[in-house]
Formats: sequence, C-alpha cells, structure tokens
Amino acid sequence: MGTTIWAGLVQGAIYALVASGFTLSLLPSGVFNFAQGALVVSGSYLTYLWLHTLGLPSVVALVLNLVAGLLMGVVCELVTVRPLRFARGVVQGGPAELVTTVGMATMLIGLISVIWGTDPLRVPWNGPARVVNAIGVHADPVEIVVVGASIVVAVGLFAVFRYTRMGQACRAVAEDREAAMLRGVNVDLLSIGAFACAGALAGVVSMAIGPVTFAIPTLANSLALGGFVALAIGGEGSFLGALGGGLVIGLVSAFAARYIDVNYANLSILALLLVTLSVRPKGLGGAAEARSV
Amino acid sequence: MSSAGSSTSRLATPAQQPAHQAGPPPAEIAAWRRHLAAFLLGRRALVVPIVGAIVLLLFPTLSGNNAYWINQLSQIGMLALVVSGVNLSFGYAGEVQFGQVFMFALGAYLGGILSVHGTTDIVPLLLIGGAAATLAGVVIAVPALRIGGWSLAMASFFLVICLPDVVAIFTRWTGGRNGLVGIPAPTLFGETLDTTALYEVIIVVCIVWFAAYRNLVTSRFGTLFRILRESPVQASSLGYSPARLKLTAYAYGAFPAGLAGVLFGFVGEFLQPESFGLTLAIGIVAASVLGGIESVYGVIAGAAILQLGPQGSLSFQEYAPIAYGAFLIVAAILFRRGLGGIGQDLLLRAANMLVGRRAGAAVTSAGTLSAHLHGDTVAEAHAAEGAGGVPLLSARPGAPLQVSGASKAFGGVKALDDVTLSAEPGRVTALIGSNGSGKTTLLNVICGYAGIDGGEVSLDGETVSGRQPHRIAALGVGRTFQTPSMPRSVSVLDVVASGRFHTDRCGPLSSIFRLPRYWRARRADRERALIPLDLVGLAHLADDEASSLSLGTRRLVEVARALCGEPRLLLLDEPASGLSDEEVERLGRAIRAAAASGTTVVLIEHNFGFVTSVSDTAHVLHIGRLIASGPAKTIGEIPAVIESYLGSSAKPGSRRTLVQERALVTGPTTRP
Repeated sequence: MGTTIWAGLVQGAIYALVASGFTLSLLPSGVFNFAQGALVVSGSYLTYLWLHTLGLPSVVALVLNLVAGLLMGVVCELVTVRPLRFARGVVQGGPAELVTTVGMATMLIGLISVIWGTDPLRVPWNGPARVVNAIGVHADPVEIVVVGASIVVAVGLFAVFRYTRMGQACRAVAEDREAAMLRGVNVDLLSIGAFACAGALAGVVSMAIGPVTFAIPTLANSLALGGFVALAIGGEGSFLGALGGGLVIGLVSAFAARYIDVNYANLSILALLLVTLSVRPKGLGGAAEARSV
Repeated sequence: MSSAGSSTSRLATPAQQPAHQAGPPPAEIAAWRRHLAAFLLGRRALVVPIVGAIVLLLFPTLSGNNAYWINQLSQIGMLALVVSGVNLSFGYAGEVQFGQVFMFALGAYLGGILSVHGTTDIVPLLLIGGAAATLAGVVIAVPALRIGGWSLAMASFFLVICLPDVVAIFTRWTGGRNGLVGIPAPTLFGETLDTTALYEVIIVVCIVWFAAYRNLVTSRFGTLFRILRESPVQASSLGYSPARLKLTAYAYGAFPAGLAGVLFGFVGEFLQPESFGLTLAIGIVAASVLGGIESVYGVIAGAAILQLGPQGSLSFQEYAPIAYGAFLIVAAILFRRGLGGIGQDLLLRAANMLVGRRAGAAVTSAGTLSAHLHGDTVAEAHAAEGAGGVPLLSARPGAPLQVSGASKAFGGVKALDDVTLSAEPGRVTALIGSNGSGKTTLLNVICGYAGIDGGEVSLDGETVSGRQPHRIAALGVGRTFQTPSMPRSVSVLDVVASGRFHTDRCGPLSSIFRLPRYWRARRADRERALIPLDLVGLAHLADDEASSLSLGTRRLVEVARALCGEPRLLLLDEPASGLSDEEVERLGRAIRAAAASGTTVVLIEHNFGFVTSVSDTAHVLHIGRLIASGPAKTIGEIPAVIESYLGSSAKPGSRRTLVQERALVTGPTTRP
C-alpha cells in the first residue's frame, strides 16, 4: 500500500512538473505547447550525454541543461508559434498551434531516436543514493527530489504569477491579449520569455526525472498527455491545480496498475479524464466566464 | 448549349484575335476555351473521378495482375479512407484529432477476431467495423467536446497510447503482443476473395465512401462545418449546437477508419499492436494536412505520398518522424490548404487564363467563375426574373420580448443592473447608450451567450434565460454581431441561406444519399436566401466568396442572413457602423420590411439619425442601468440622455437636441 502510494506520487509529480511547464508557457502565449514532454525527454538525453558520455560534473551539467532547455524553448516559440501570428486566417489558440507543436515534438523524438536509438538508457544520478526507509516505504533520494521539485515549482510559479508585476502581466495576457497589448504589455517578448522559462524548467527537472524514468524517446508523448490530463483535471491555467491533478492521476494509475492489472494504468488515466470532463468541464480549479461575443 | 452562347457577351471575352482565314472562327475558339475552363473547374464534371475509379477497377486486368502495385494501391486506398476521416473533423469542422489510428485498429481487430471465429462475409464485417469505430468515436468525443479546445485532440491521442494495453487486456481474443494470426481470406456472398478480388472490394469501398464524403461536404453541412471552424459562436447563433456539429463531423470521420481497419486485417492476414503506433497516428494527420484540409481528392494524394514515402520504404522509416514533424510545422504555417488547395488554385488560374481574364480581372473564387461559365449564376437568374416590390419577409408571427430585472456582473463591474424593458412584434425597438453602457451584454443575455445573474428574459411568454444559445436561436431569435466574420470559401448565397438551416432541417444522411428532402431544402435555400439578399441590395453578389467582402457589405450580408431565418425576434448589433449612406438606406429599408412583416426588431445603434428614423421606441442604457424609455423621435430631448451621451459638460437646459448635436459633429445623416 505504502509502496503503491509512493510510486503514484513519484509518477504524479513527474506529470505535475510537465503540467507546470505547460501552464508556464500557456498563460502568456495562449498556446498549449505539446512539445513540453519532448523537451523533458530531450533534457534526460542531454543529462545522459553530459554525465555518462562526457563525464562532466553535475553542476556543469545542470548549467548546460538549463541553457540548452532555454534555447530549445526559444526555438520552439520561434518555429511553432511566432509564424502563425502572421499566417492568414489562423485562429489564435486554435488547432494550428497544436499541429505545429505536435510537429515539433515529433521532430525532437525523431532526432533523439536517430542519435541515441530507441532502447532505454540509464541516466546517471550523482546526488545522494542511500535509500530512505520510512513507514514501510523505500524511497530513492532522486524520487524524493522529484516529488519535492514538483511542489516547489508549482508553489513557486503560483507565487510568481500572483505577486509579481511580470506574472500579473502574463495573467492579463491570458485574460485578454489585446487589452494587455493596449496597456503596454509586450506580448511577443512575454511569449518568448515564457517558452524560454518553460524550456529551462524542463531542462533542469529532467536531471531528476531522467534517472527515475530512464531516457526513452516514446516517453515524450506519454508525458505530454499525462501533463495535459493533469492540466484538464486541475483546471487550465492553475499551477496548484496542475500539481493536484498530476498527483491524483499518478495515484490513480499506480493503484489501477497494482490492484487491477498493469495494463489498466493508462486506461485509468483516460477514464479519469473523460469522467472529469463530463462532470466538471472546467476542471476542479474552474475558471471565470468571459464575454464570448 | 444555349447557355454557352448567352454567356459570351457577359464574360468580357478577351481582345478578339485577328481571324485567320484558314482557322476556325474566333467565336468557336472562345467557346471551346470556355468549355475547357468549365471542365477544369469541374463543378458538374465528375468525369475525372469517374474515369479514375474505372481505371482503378480495371487495374488488375490492365496491368496483368501486377502484384506489387495491387498491394500498394490497396494500402493507399485504406490509408485514404483513414485520412479522409481526419479531414472531415479537422479540415472542415476545425477539430484536430489524432485518434483515427485507434478507430482503424478497432475495425481491424473486430474484423480479424470475427473472421478467425468463422464470420468471413466481408459486407457485415465492414458494417460492424464502421459502426464500432463510430461508436468509439462518440464515446470519446462527447465528454471531450464539451470543453472544446484541445480536449478532443488530447483524449483521442491518449487512445492511441492505450491501444497496446487494450490489446493486451483482451489477449485471449487478440493474441496480445504476439499478434493475431491466421486471419482467413474474406468471402463475399459465399465466394472466397483472392488478393485481386479483395483489391476490387477495397476500391469499391473507397468509391462509395468518397462519393458519400463529397456529398456531405458539398451539402449545407460543408457550409455549417466551415462556419463552425471559423466561429462556434456563429454556428450556435444559427441554431446549431457547436458540440453536436463537431460530434457529427467526428463520428462520420471515424466510420471510414473502421472500414479501412476491417480491410487491413484481410490484406495483412496478421495483426499486432505495433501496426497502429503513434508514428502512424501522426503520419495520418500529416497526410491530411498535406492533402489539404477542406479537400476531397487531395486526401488521396496525401495518402499516396504517405504510403509510397515513409510508410513504404524501410530505409526511410527511421527518419519518418523527423519528416512528419517538419511537415506538420511547415504545412500548418505555409500551405494551409495543402496539395488539394494548390491544385484548385492552379486549375482556377488555368481557367482564368483560358477565358482570357488577366491577373487583375481574374475571378478569385472557383465557384464564382464556374457559375459564370455555366451561365447559371444565381444573381443573373434572379435579375432575369425581375424582383418587383418588397416581398413579405417572414411568414412567422413576431414574438414579444420581455426583459425583467435583468442583472449581470463581470467580476466587480455591473454590466447590467436591474434592466426591465420590452419589445413588441411589428415594431423596431432601439437600444442606445454610450460605449460600455451594457447594450451588447443585454443582447448576449437575451441570446444566452452570457448567463443571467438575476431577473429573467422571456420570449412570447416563455422563459428563455438559462437556455443554451443554440436552443434560444432555434426558437426564432436571429442576430447579427458587431464584428461580422464570414467563413472562408463559402458563397454569399450560402452564407445567407445558413440563416434558415434550422427552420428547415435536413440531416447528414439525407445529404449523403441525396434524398428528396435534400433537393427540396436546397431549392428552398436558394429561393429564400435571395429575398433578403435582394432587399439589402446585394443579389448581384450572390455567387461571390463571402470572406472577400468589405466590412460594410459583410454587415449587410449578416443582416440578410438573420432575415433569411424568418426570425420571430431579430437582434441587430450596430448594423449601420461602417456603412456608406446609401448602404444605410438599404439597411433601413430591410429593417422596416422586417418589422412590416411582423417581426420584433431590437436595434443597437450609435447613429442617432438612423435610430430616430427607423425605430418606434427607444430605451437608453447608462452604465448598465435603464435611464430613459420613450418614442424614438423624442428620446434625444430628454436631459438625462443628453448628459449620458455628451457628458455633464452639456448644459441641462440646452436647447439643442441630441440629433442636432450629432449633426454638428458628423454632418447631417441621410434620412432614408
């Protein structure tokens, strides 16, 4: 029981971290960046490259991952989002952006498979390694780091968006893009900045996620979809909702895998998504109603 | 070919070539050119698809049973079925989905399992596969469509991830990860089908499906889907539930994937979950985008490229995801209409050249040019009939509107504060007030786009507040919007006709099978749409593409559309802004005609001269509160109204009325 709960929390924390990345780039740009999952997986492979292949110290790897994630985030925005602002007849927040970001994710996964192959790679972890035993649960330190990171990231981003001017500007853009532009908010800069931050976040947290999940190309889409479900359940645009949603689906899938069958892990998440959408279309966090005409 | 002769004069035939003595007379050449151009645009010419179908059916005989190509063409046919379904929901209804592979797999496994257990007759298997895929599509789509956005895309994507698990759960029947082996050859009416016969079945299924698909998207559903893609709000103002329309597109799109699945099992004789992976899921969307959203036959080209390129060659498979990914990005940004769109553009350009229209004068819409070439433009037919007098616009009696104590707040802002007013049938009721006074919010509350916080709205004594927008619209509430958006690649006539779709329902099946009901509705659409279009003076634009019109003209088209639905209550949101004086006059004529036929008209307008000239009663809103009501002629003399409009600096005792004040600022307004 304790083991199942812990496994669910770890899995859920990973989804929550991806979902926080989604929300971070979603708020100021209005774009759901499907490639966030692929960015995390790319980070895992880069961690493998720095630590295993090149044997660099962890601190250097951390900096490199942060910079690489930041750059990939910027590239992502420039390639998948920016051109659509100029394309004719594209509805903002519509399917076109989903198509381009899925395209970006597919490209990244394809590149990874060509470079590193499709077999899982063990990503090194140079932090503390002594397994912690408490109340009948064996927890790897890296797992504790993942769970802790998910909470710190969600609460931290929540605070940043609530209490800083920059964060409030982002929320203003999310509310009404044009009105925010008229108030002097540089929406283009915010959008790039948000993608860069989400990329950097993916790069940093992948150093802990990689050792837990191993580096597998196909994981990218599972992470993106799990992150989406976390978002949908927690309420779009809410960091704390993303954290809660992530942990819930992690627990549900862990219990389904343990007590029904391992094949029901993903299906239980899908069922949870469909039930949530039926019962509370706006997610557990909810959202304000705005004028649609 | 009498029409060809009559169209000669119209078509602004190019500078006549100096006639050669030996050659045919220039008029004959011009006629041939027109015929060729009309053929290229293919509005009536189904020749190309029919010839293509015959060649495909005869291919085994023609090629001496070329096994390689028979297999390739079978694969392309099955992929085309799968891709066309994505096109229907993504290209037409604007709802991207990645789950088509799951529907494909569902059909394949169902067909495979049933045939292994002895049911090999392909016709019932096809029907079962298609029905199961449709059902699965509905189960996924109903909850996902409720919030729209990316939910359907994600939920359907998730299905593909779950596929290996589902196969594993039912290992007893599916063979799990080892695969389902020993699928027997299918039978048709008791005869066992060999590879060639199976190929013929695949081609026939494709022909039947693509004919159905074409019939669906060329019917009013094509118009509705395009409106939905551009603006779900507009679709609901036409009396259609956006979620329901999306569901229709999605469910019909899942059907061919189920068919293709059944066929796929028989072609491969073996099924395993790896055949239905994420790469294929994304490849299918890429093929759809490549073939061209909103294209019927481009889909086949997209499927052929997918099959002959990445899917077919093993050496390329490793790089396939990179290619698909790059393709999705480039296509979504640059070629928004795909190969099908490029093909249509080329044909249009060629047709324009043939009839001698130079770049400047070229007709930009295939429909328009084609209609001209066939000599049956609606506009001209109408002009020939001679529209005399103002026809009775609506046979339906108007419905009295009663708003009682309506309140609505956005956060801390009270957009409406205890507003009570009524509007009578056969009269024009104006709603005026400065910007931000709550006029549009009141309209949105009446239509159901904004929920009501307090009070109620009733129509003909029936409470409507709290109902969904499309249900309120279906009661006979027509409206126009401040920013009129027109769907791309739809003619003005079809846009106007869309206003009456909900009054004369014609389901997708009637459209697919072209039942008598379809033809009746289609004829009525054309006839009824011309009446309001003529009233606003735009009948000559009936065949033009609506999205290419100027803002003012769009407004008038929207008014015509609202009138076409024979509304019992007509709500007009600033219909005169951006219109020329002459257009304002036509608008006034249309509004009075609507009222004369008994409709209840509510008009929001800033043009004060216009308001006083067309309306009977006026209500004045100020920061969400009703501050004055009275006859429209004298409402501008009430001090509170002057103050609200001109600010407190205007002296309350001023002699000038609001009409005069306005006239000073904007110049005299033409009184229609």
